[in-house]
Amino acid sequence: MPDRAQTPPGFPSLAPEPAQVVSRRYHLHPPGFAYAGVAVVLFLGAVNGQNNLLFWLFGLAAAGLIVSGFVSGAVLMRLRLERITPPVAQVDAPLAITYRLRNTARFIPALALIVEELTPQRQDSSRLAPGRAFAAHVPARGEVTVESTGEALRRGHADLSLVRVWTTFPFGLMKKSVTFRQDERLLVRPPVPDVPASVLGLRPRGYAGLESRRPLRTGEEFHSLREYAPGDSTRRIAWKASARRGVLISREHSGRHLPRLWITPVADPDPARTDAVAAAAAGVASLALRRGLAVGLALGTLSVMPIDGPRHLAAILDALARWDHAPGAAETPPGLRPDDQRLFVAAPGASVPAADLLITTDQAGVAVRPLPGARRRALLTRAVRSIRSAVGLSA
Amino acid sequence: MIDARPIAADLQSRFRWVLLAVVLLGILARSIAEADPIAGLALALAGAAGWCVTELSAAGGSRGIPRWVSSILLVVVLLAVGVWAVQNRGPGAAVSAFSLFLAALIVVKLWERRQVRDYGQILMLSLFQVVGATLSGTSLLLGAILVVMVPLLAVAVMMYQVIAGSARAHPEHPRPIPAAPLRPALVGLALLMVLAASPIAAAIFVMVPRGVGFQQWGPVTRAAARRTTALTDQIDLTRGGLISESSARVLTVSLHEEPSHRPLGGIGERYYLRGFVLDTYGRGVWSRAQPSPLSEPVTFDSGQFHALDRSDVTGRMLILEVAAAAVPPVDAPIFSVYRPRSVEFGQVDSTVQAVIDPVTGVMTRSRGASLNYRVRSVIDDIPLPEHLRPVDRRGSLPAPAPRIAALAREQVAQAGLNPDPAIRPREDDALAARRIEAYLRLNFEYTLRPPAPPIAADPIEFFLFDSRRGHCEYFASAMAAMCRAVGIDARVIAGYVASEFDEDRQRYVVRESNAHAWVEVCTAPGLWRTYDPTPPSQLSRVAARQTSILGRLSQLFDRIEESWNASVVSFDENSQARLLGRGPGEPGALDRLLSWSRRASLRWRSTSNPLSLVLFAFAALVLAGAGVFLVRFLWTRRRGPVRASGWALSPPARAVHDHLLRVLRRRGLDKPDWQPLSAFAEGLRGSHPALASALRAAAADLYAASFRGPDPGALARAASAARDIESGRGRAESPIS
Repeated sequence: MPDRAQTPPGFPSLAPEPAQVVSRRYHLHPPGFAYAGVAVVLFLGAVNGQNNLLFWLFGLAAAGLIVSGFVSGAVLMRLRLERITPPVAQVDAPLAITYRLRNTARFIPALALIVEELTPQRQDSSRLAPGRAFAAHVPARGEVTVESTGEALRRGHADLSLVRVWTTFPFGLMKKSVTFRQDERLLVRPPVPDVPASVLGLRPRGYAGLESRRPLRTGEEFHSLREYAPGDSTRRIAWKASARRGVLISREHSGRHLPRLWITPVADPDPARTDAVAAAAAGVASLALRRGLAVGLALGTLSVMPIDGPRHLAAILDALARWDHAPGAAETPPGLRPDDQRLFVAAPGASVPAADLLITTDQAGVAVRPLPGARRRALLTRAVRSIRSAVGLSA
Repeated sequence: MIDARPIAADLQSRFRWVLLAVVLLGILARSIAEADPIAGLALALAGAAGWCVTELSAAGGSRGIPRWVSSILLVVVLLAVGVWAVQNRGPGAAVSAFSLFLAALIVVKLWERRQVRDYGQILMLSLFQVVGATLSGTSLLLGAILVVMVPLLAVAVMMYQVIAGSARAHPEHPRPIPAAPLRPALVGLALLMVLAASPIAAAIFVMVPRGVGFQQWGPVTRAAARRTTALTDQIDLTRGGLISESSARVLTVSLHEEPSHRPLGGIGERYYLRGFVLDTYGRGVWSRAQPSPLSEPVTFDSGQFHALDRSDVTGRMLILEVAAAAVPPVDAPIFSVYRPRSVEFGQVDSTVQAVIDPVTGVMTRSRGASLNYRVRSVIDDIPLPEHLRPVDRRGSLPAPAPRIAALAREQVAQAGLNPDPAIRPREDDALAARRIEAYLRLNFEYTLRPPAPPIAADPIEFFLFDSRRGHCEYFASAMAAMCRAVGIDARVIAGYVASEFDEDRQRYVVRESNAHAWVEVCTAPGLWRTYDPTPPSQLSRVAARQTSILGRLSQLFDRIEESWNASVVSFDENSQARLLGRGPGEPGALDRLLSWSRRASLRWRSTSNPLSLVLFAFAALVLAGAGVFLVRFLWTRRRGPVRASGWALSPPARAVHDHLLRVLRRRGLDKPDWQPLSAFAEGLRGSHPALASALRAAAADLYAASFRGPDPGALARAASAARDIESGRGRAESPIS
């Protein structure tokens, strides 16, 4: 599967291939049963009373069923779909997925189409809760683009594969669907919560706090040029010098050395708590970057070197999204300097080695999200309670 | 709630108006079918007001009474209709009550705050109401409303599907849907569906067998088997006005006297053509007498003669020659004037099966049309021979309603006769009957559109004491009931009055509108005399042709109604046979099947009881379930070969493959049917790398074992991989294990 995070931000999908049709189905539908029941009553009434109007209505009912099945089936036979996914998604941010629907039928338009992703059966591992898209009308030999708005539930790689287009048009008697397959992988970034600024000013184990040592960018002076190193900000590239020499050259500034902050998230056996750690780390990184610190992420092979600037947040979030380490192993930052600050982000109660700063998820204001399955169960429980109270039973 | 305010010409706004039209048409259909205009008007006004309050507000459907209020209202309506149904028992009361409840339910739903699904419910209720109306009526107006309403309902449902689809996709914020792009699509599809559905519906209408299962479950509705042909062998007074005003020609008859051979008839002279004798009354319905033991089936060929009464009779005889203008329905009567003595058929296409009852003088013919016959009758009052006389019931007749009996006694007493048959001389019975006839003629109004009696009320009582208006059936019924109340045996006769004399051809033309009902009273043992309590002047006035514009319009409507009745309402097995090109003498396979099913149906009806009904329903359910199972089984088998579940694997490889799938399923990993095993393994690479690796290897071995020739090693490796996966060695990294 192509990794959607590999595509540059803001660029459209690299997989414009139309989705393949996997199956077409007619589903049993409660209104269809009701309609069939009415038709049977009509027939019995007509037979019992030899009432010709009832025979006529029965004929119409049967004809409606046949024509309805034919029309809706014919429409879906000629439908083509292409999913256009965003390059990345983020937990707690709207997830908009665009679908391009093409009706290749010559005469029959398609109406009232609902497009939905077929989420995996194992809901607990589902990372996405895609919304439904609706196309009121796809004209014959026409094309429309519709968008669904859903949400990402958990960080990590989310696989999108099957898309179902269904309709109960024209009479709602039967639900017809066609399932398309278009495999794609979407990287879901963790949420970036608003972390209180005070958490960076805490002083555990004699540490003075980052806030007090925070260097301002004003007052820095040019010191020298050096060859570009991966991780340098593009704003530090001396373009003229680079052009003259044919290689990228970066500027170095004098003045107080910019403090580098290494954030080390600590995984937890509970995936939900690990997700909360990732969210807290993202929030802390965002706060630190806004305050002008160079922030790095110690995540083993996924580590991100410390760079300042808000745009660096994307690289940190991508790394946090891919983070899938075994619990308990705190990574050592690569290229750790003596004056670098280390910050651990962990769930409460986690054992963390000595560090400059420890921020727990509750200090960062990040609550542990229940997993989707647990949330569904909670909703179900609430619904059962509502029903019980509505019918007069004790909730 | 449909939030559609931002766009003026959106689909939701259009849908509201279509919905209102559907609801009002449904209520109109109900009020026509139930002949209940006042309730219909009240319901329509209440519904329209509710619609205005809820739909013309700024938020469209969000205003209105809350759910708990509507729930209370529904309970109240349900109770009220239930009480009404209990109080008004009778044929069709349940359907009428249900129809009324549906209409009230729709009105309540129009008043309440609505979600999108409520619109669907209203449409469904409207559909039910149409069905209810059709159960209760078959009039032309109802048919016209259905013709308009059914396509409108279809369009409304299509619009609703679009709106509901949008609401399903965006439940939090329903979005307005522009109507303009949808209009041509909806109109085009509606046209397409009408064009496609009409022939299918017509074919089903024509092909569905008729005459099978008639009243298998009893007279559920008042409109059961309603035929608006003028002459029927059953007079149902609960149905209100069903006397046809059609000018369609039914018979031409000529009469002459024997032995003088003098032609009879002329302008202003009327002859009563006896059809059916109806002497059994119950629940507002007069039905045919049970055939006497002396009745016999007779087969006629061309020119064959049959004598009903072989006793020697002297006196004047009347010869009635009948030519039917149309093929008569099954069990059509052989008409006679006075009591028939013999019948003779003219040229017939095939043999005519007839049943002749010499006691009542009723002759009916079944399948096998013959258009010409001659009937010889006795003109003078000559009693039946002793051996043909039925048991004399004078003075031992069942008592009618007390009010009717009191009225009859009062009238007889006013004529100076004793109402008590035990005291009154037999000779006075004719005078008593004449007195009752005169009373009815002078004190009641004749109309072809009488008000329908309340369901629980006795129609005769309703006619005598409440409406005091009715057509000949009411007059005849009232007279028969009053005669019986004073101990005089009386029966209703259904037939035609021949009154339109064609001087040029010296014959009478009998039209459908000449259908009539009168009374025969037993004034002496074996002697029945004809009485007609219908006011003759008013009968002539109604029968006279109207020349005003309204009259012409009425005649035009009459012609349309006649076509409607002939082509739709009265469509029966004979019409079906004619339409399908089969003559009466050419029974096809379908005919034989229908005949068998009719016989079985009749046999079953005669022996059916509640237990057999339950058994029948159970058997039908079992058969239906078996059918569904069979279809599903065949469908699954049909789909089997295209499923990508290892269909092409060799049998040993298939066994290993299926075992692998079972192991995976136990781990919560369901491989979709469409996905090959290797592709499924590839998909697990991210989440279950070790398992994916083992599966890939197993898949490769399975494919190798099946497609690269016999390779026991490959199959053994695949089996080993399957065992590894089952034992857990292949799922070390599986987070879900």
